[in-house]
Amino acid sequence: MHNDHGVVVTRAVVSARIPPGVCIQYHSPERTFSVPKSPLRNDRRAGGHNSLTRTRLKPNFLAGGYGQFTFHFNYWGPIGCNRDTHILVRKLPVLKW
Amino acid sequence: MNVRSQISMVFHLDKCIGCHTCSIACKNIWTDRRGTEYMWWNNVETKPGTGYPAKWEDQEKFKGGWEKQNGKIRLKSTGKGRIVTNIFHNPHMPSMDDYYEPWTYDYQHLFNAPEGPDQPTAKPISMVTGDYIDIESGPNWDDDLGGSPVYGKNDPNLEGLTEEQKLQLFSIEQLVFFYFPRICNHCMNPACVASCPSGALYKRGEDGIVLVDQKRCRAWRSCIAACPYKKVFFNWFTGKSEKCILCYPRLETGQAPACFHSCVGRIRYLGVVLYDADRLEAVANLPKEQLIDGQRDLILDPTDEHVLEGARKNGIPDSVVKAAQESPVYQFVKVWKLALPPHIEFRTLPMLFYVPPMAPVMANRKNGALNSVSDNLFHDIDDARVPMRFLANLFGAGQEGKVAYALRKQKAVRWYRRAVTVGDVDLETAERMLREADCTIKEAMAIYELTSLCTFEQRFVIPPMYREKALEALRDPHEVKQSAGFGFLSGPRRGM
Amino acid sequence: MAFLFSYLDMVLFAALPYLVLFTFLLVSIQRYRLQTFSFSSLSSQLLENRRHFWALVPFHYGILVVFAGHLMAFLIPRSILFWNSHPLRLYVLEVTGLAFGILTLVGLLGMVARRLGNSKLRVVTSRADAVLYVLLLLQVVSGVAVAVFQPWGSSWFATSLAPYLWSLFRFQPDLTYITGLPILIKLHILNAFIVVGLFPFTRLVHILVVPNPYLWRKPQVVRWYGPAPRDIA
Ligand code: SF4
Ligand code: SF4
Repeated sequence: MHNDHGVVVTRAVVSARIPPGVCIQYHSPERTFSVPKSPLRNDRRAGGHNSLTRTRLKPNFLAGGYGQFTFHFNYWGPIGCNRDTHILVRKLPVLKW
Repeated sequence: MNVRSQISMVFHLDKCIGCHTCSIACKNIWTDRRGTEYMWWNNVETKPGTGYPAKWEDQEKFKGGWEKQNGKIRLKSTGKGRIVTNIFHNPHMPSMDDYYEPWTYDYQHLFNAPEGPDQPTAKPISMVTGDYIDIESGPNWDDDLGGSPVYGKNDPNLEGLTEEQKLQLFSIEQLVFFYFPRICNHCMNPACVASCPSGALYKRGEDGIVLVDQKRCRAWRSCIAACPYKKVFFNWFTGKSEKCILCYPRLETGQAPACFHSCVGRIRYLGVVLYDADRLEAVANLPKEQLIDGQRDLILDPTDEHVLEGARKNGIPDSVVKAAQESPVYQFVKVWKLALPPHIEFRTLPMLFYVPPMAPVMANRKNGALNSVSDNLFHDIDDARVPMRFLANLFGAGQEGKVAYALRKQKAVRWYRRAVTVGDVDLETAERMLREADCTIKEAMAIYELTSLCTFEQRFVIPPMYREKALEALRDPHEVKQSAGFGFLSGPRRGM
Repeated sequence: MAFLFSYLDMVLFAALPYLVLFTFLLVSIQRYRLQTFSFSSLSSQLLENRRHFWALVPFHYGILVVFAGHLMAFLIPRSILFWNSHPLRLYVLEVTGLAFGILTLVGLLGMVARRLGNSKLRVVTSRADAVLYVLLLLQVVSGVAVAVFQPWGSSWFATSLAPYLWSLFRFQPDLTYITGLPILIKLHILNAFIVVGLFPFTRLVHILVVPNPYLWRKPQVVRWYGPAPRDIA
């Protein structure tokens, strides 16, 4: 999935539950495992943390001393495609790690 | 009459939420070793779907279970004569591709990756070879109709459904699915046991649990093909077959099996039933349509004087008989006839029964408005979103009547409780429904209680199993301890 | 030099057989007693199902027939000689033997290729397996070579090898039958001894536990902790 905010590469499931032409993305997939590189990013990795919607930090997000923005593996924010006006979905042409 | 006791089970499918907690509980206790990574002694399938291993119900392919031949039953896959040719290569055995190749991720790489322009990622690696693999399937990739064109549409139970019904199963806003958790059925007439050339598989006399003797198993692989439920697995590392042991070490200490204990939906019931072993062979040989009734008939009434006498004669302790009298399984299967065996046409006489799930159509969209279609009391059962034919293929040996009976009764109980507690349906109709569903008010209350209010002790009526006593009777345990310690001392390993 | 050879013959054909037989019996029995769990054919069919058929089936049928032939020539040499007295019958026997020998070889080569060509199978191939494959290859190749280059083996086996083997069992090894044999045949015999000696250390032990009781037991097996209440299936 990509738009001018970024690229997300993730696994897709084709199901009779979803009408043709519709995609649903549940969670932001962990970028730390099983995310291949994307030709759209010049063969760089494109995964869950590379949100299609920017997460903008406000100081009070950092309150409380939790690890949400300090520990890299965690991701705090909307899923890759929330609140975007358009997203393009493509099949990854070649699998590259 | 030859009375035997057997631990038996009921899964109430209407309550299963498909959370896989059961599978994980089992995996963490029993199958987290090398060679067992791909095994799921307990797995949860989405129906319609092809299940795990893919298409296990298709006995044209896997030749599991028994078939009738010349008035007798014989194993589909093997037999005394056929073993000679099957022993070198078992033609019906599934390979790992039919299950899936187990994998993990190369997490170490996240720490070891050299500095680069990009963030590292943990690639999938095979748990067999340790090499990088491209994952293509998993044990539950058909979950919630995921990949339904591949999985759902190939469900063997779709046989006999009209095109319209199939369309209904797979079209948007109409489609429906339900969960189907499976463990070994600890069958009365197990095909796995009958197929083992070494006699390594056996049924425990006292409680009917089917086990593989790890020391006698020589990897002839017959059981894997013979079990029509594909619930014997081959440990590729130790070269031994393994299967669900119904957590017998837990049962023997009075605890419910791990999958039962952890079940979030509380769908699982376990209890003892008494059955007549003398008629077993005759029942397994009945025509397909009579199998369900035949098996119910084998299960004996634990309050009947003759049965009690037979039990005493066969040395079944009073405490076990008492547990049989309180058994929730007996109620569900024999008294209420709500629980049905899965695919009894495989003739292994499974001892795990399922209460079929309800998915009634309560309303139809007509001219842009939703209309209730429930004027006819049972209309929505016959027109259920899961076609009756589908459920009948799965739980009724093809007979819709058996499934319809169970669903009607369930619905009548709900209406009755609705009338009692909410009061927006009138009690008279509810009582008429009960009558038509062959259910008394007392029975309805009992069903309601055991379905929705059941406590841990009501769901799992575990008899004392007296294993310690049996050991003491044979030998002084301290003597055993001194000479050999307790139990199986040489750990499982591959070859010499 | 000749003295040296006869000395070597003594060691290899009079002492070694007893050593391997002793090892075979001792280790098999002890392994069965102490490591019962390890008795398994260690099948790899789960990991690879297609080539398994084309390799394992020819190999097993081939080796069984060939082994039965050897056994017969050992047990009933006179009947074999009588059968062979007619050239046509001798010819039939020889060709059958060779055919099954080649079948064995094809199967064995298939097995080796299968193991080498599949990464999953390499995981379950131990060092003992590798040694076993080398020995078996040597044995089958030398066997087929003997059948081709030293024909009429069914007859000379009966006249010279059977008496030698019997002399071993009578604990009076008679090497006169052996010394003159061509080197190829000697190699075949020697390798056979080595296979017997290593047998109990390898997966070959599955031959010792071939499941004959299956043929007469009742289909269902029930185990009771105490005595069974009645004789039931
Ligand atoms: S379900 Fe399969 S493994 Fe379990 S007892 Fe029945 S035949 Fe055997
Ligand atoms: S734990 Fe219970 S509710 Fe959850 S999937 Fe398993 S059987 Fe269903």
